[in-house]
Amino acid sequence: MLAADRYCVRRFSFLLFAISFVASVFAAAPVQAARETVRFEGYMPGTVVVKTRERRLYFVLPNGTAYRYPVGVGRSGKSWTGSVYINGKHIKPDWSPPAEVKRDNPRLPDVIKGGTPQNPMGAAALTLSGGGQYAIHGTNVPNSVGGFVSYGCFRMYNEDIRDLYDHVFVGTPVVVTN
Amino acid sequence: MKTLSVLVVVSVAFLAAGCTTVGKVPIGKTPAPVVTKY
Repeated sequence: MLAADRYCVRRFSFLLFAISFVASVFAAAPVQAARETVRFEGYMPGTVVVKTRERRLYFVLPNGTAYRYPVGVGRSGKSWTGSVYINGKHIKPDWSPPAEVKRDNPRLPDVIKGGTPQNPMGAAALTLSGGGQYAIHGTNVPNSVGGFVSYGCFRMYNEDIRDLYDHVFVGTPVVVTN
Repeated sequence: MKTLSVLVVVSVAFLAAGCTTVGKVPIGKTPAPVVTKY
């Protein structure tokens, strides 16, 4: 092989390596926040609205707009509708599986420390009234956000739940629709 | 010494009045885990 050919092969190999390295970095980086501001009417400002089929959560703003976030919602047979309110705000809470979850996953520990990779609440949890043991929370599985994946909770990117956390309070109404 | 005495009196009065939390966090206790689905 000529020296010029070897030079070309080396350059080509380096280029290929650089392209695959950059591609792998971008592919591995999960989307951390996805808030958008959109037109939205029909609900009082300050209300949280979940549109299950859309897999989107809206926080209603005063000027006919809302923040819109992607959410994971209940999988088949686990979704629900209704009007509730936020009855607790928790940053990186310890988490205990309720009976239904424990029954399905008996190997789950009774308590998972907050902030650990095993804790499904992620960065924060907003618990909901109504007795259904539902919450709007972060996640330890970011690529599940936007899917029909949960037991009926609403799963957000950690950056998004931190953002929503700052806009709501105990008593904020939450409307869950189809 | 006097300051310490005042602190002790205030703390005892605080606890005696049934004030066992600062904000929503119980004094000396870890918050209970949330029990929710996910």
